[in-house]
Amino acid sequence: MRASRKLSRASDREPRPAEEHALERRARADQLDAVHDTLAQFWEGIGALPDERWRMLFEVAVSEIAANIVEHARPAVMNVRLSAAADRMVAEFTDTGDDWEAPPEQAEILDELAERGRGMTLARTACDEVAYERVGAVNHWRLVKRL
Amino acid sequence: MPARWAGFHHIEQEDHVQIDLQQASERVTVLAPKGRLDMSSAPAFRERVRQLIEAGTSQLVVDFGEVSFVDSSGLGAVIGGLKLSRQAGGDLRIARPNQQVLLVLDLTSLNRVLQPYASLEEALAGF
Repeated sequence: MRASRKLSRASDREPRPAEEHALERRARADQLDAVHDTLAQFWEGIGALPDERWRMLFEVAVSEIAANIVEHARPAVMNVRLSAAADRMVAEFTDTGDDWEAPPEQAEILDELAERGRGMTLARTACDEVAYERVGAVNHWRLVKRL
Repeated sequence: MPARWAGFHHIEQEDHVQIDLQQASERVTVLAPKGRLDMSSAPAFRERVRQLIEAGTSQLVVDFGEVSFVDSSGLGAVIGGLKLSRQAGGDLRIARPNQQVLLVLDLTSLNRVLQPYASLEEALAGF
């Protein structure tokens, strides 16, 4: 027996020109591409690389924050700055998009099959510090991962 | 069976996202996304799964062999596909995740729900 499934939610879909939607999608994809390119360049510029797992964890956190910014703040421009110190690596994001309203902190995801809401927890698991503040019209994110 | 596949030719190709489809057997379809399965490609992936299930295929294997990177949105879309497939009486399995994907599955504890299979053959077995 197959129950009827309402897979398209009319309230979520506004009629919009297909072209505009595709351009927005591309803009988001381009922004994420740029973040990944920046990470690749960053590693190339570093003499003694941390091991692969460490780098993957850093990239996971950077990507989650970038995706969060792109999806929720929806800025026209997003800046990311990656820097290395003796004992840590830092990723700083600034954007002039919308304010970010944090969902309530969850100690654990109660629904194992939740499709959304894992991003921030994942970033905090992968990095040591995740900080956000809004100064004027600018969002600031700072990620720190200790070596 | 031919009628089920005819519908796929009408699917619009989303920018940046390539998801190959392969009918592994009469009942199982393999989806093979390419590149990053992340926030930008997740919607296209969800849509492809939705279309497959609407067309009557609910036994799915997602081949991660050419997925370079996954984030929480990408895995969320796979979880969404898992739920849809189970609601339709089927299931969804994942195969051939790389180290990055395994890491994210581990960090999110989703490796319990999405048990990764090392090969396509293993994932297909028992379907």
